Amino acid sequence: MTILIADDAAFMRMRLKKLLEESGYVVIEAANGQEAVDRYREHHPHAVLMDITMPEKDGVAATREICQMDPAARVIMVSALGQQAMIVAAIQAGAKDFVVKPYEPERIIQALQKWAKAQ
Amino acid sequence: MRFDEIRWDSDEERALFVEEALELLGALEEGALKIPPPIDAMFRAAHTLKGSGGMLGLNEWVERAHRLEDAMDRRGRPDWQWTPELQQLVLETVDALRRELEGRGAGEANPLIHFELRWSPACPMPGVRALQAFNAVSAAIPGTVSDPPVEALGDWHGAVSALWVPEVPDVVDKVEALLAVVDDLIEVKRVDRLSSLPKTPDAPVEETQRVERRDATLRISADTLEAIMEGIGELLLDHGQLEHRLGQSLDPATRSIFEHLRRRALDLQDLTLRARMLPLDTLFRQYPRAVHDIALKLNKKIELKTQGGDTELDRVVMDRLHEPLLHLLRNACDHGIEPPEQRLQAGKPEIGTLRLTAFAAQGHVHIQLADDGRGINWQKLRDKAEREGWMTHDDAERATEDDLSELLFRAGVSTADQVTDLSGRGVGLDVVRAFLDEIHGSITVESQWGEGTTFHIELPMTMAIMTALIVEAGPWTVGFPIATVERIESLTVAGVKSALGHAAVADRNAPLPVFSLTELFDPQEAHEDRYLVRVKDGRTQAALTVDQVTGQQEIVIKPVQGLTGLTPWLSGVALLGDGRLALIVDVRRLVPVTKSEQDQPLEDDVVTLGSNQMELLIFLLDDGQRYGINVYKTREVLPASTITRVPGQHPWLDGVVYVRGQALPVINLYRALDMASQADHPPLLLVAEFNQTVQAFGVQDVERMIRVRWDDVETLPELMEGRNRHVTGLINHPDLGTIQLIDFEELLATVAPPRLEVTQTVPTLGPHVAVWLADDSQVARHQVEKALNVLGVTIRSFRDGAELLAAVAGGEPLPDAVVLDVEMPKLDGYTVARQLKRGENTARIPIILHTSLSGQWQASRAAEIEADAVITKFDPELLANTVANLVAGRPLSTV
Repeated sequence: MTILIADDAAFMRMRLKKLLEESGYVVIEAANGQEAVDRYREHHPHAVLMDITMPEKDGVAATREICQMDPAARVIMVSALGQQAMIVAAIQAGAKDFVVKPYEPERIIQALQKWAKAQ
Repeated sequence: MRFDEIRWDSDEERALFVEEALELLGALEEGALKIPPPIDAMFRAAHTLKGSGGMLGLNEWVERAHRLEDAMDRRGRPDWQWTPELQQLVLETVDALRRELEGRGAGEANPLIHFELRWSPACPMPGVRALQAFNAVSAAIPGTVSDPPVEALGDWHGAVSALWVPEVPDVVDKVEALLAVVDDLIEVKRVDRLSSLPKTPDAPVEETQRVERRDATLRISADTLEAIMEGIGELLLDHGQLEHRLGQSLDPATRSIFEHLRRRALDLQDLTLRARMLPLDTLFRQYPRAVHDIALKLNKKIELKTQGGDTELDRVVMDRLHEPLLHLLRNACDHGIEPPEQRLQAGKPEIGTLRLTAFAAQGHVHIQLADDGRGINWQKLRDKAEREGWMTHDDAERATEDDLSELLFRAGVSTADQVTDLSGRGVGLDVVRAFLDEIHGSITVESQWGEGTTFHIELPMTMAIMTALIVEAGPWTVGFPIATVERIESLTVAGVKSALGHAAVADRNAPLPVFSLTELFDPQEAHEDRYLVRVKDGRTQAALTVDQVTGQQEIVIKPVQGLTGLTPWLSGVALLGDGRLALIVDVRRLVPVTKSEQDQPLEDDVVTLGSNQMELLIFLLDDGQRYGINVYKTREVLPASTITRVPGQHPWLDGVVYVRGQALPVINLYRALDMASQADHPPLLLVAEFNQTVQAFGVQDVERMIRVRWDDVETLPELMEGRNRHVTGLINHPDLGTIQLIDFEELLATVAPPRLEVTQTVPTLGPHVAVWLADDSQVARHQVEKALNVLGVTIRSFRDGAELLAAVAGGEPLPDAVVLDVEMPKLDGYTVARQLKRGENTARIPIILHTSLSGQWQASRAAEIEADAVITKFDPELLANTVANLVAGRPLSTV
């Protein structure tokens, strides 16, 4: 399964990538919202783990574009606490779920598995 | 494709579309009336409307929405402007799209099922979870509503949210399955409707939880609420009766349960009444548009600003407030606000402002409508008052603005010089006041010439609950709305004097007339007045003396259906804490009209004579049939008391009862009507007065009063008349089915046969004199014939007035005198009398109204009737003499 990780912090991407690859996922990376949209268009990954605060295009806007392009997209927001309003907006834009930072690694895997099952 | 041609996959889908479209249209309309308009939001609304219309293939719809979107697309550019034309385009588009939807909404949507969603305390962002839950469910079941609403979820941090889901098969399972993908959800619970009743304040509720659940609402139809209200009322009445029956036999423990029962019922009543309250915005919301349209027609620029729309008011009051309020708004636009050029000249802003403000204070809702228009020209009004002869020159000069403003509420007075298209039409503020009178509201006006006018309306918050002053007057317990009570004092210190031949007491301005409340009700009743209550309602003012003042009490008024025709002063009855019923009085209609008020007679809805109508009291025996008796024949209905048997009487006579010191014969209707179950103890006694006697009848239940037209009363088929002499007519009522009119006079004649022979000497007239007689009762016809036979005249009898009139119209030789029963099917006696008196050939024929109705009202109204004589049944000598004298053209000494 291919997972797109969109986060402007390279460290966060690295951590996540490691975690996912250990569990057998294929990972694509994007460093901002626009890149995330572009990567999604190229690869149509099975799921997206989307940060909210990113330069150029934030996670909510990127989510909106992705979901317009592919209404079945499985976008999971990854955010810090206190960003509830933003996540609400993202969910209204089409995101399927969210995971709060800092997260337990299992939470991410669980979320991915759950949405992999839900067709 | 048009909206009504769409094939919907489901009702939910359609309901959702309609709901959303109406919301967007509302936003567009509201926006277009704002200054400045929120163009971005309006653009988005137009865009969304176009989009959803496109999905459905609504071509015309899309076309219109598109034009609108286009017109606003260039917003923000320097050459773009919000113009009146554009505003009009928006409003017209809104109207057109609404028309397309109109009447085709899903109507009453399916009931929504309430689910409570409990979130884990560890849930990081419950608002997001609640949104996920809503999305998951609403995607599968359209029409689902989130509580808190979706827009509010961004900063919602509660522990319990709710979903209202349209009823679909297996809804609980479905919702649970749909919610499986949502994390942090501890529990999904379907909530029973009953448990969503508001909690009483004293119930321990966690503050946070209450806040979350504040907006949990459920739509209940107004009819259901009414039914609940009615049910609780019945419950209270039953309770009262039960308590009365058990009386003193109750032990303290049972009594306390009884008391608890009553209090719970009262609480429920209170809750239900509160549920009828709606924010005034429900009403106010529609006015900005109305004002815009009116202003456009008048070529004026007017903006309406509303405030206090969250003030709550009883729905019943609100329904009836719309008309008067709209009238005032029209008035303000038309007569108040000046045309733009005049305003500019006067140094006012070009756009006129109306302010509609509402607030609640002291159990009343106040509504003010202020305009910054030209105001009322008091001097002009003074001149007009004098010119029209409403006031003398001196009075007019001395009149205060308050006095003058009262003139504005008179029929036929307009604040404008000319009648205009909008608020003219000869309908003025008098109608507004009449409307408000009905809902116990009042209206006053203040105005500064050149600066504007303010109307001030005061309304009871609810028509059903009020604080009343309870007093005792003779045998009656009476309640006055506390707002109408000015002062209470002991009669000994009040200083009642006689002024101009009438008892009066000194008041601030002028002597106040004094009336005994008991005497106003019935001059015959004994009373021992010890207190004086000064009442004032609007401009009606009086001092009433009463036996006792019991105190203040919160009461719930129960209207008495149909009774108001007979007693216009009765607003309703209220069950008091001690189980007694109090009559709640409308002061304005009770106090006799004093001189100063005579020029403003109150509309009185008593059945007018000659209107061919009557009021019937419907009662039940235990055969499932409905029986009727003319309300004018009835005195009162009482719980049955002990009947004292009197030996040796007619088998229909049960005995006598004592009612207020008077012994009344009790006639057993069950036996008289040959009923199998000759009930021994019917629970109620109907006391009736006719043929100059008072008697009581035991009945099972008294249902209500209805007003019927005599035209609707059918005479019995002739075939049946001989067999069933006890019924004079049948009515087929749309709600109640067949109602039988019992021939009470016949019953009475059977029990106590009247003296039919004329023993006095009367002049003989001879067979060339023809007397026509119309009476629906066979017995009565027989009695009259027997009495008139003494005169030697030729008598012709008719079974009702219509038959008699037909004979008149048939060109037969006309009679020399006519005797008419008052109560007859098809046409009542008054109507027949009136028609005869208006006929060219029949105007001179003497008419005698022969009535079984007695009582004061009859005497006081006899004068209004065009008959030559009114005789109360049954006095054969008086009848014979009257006929003889009238035919001979002699003056009547006996009548």
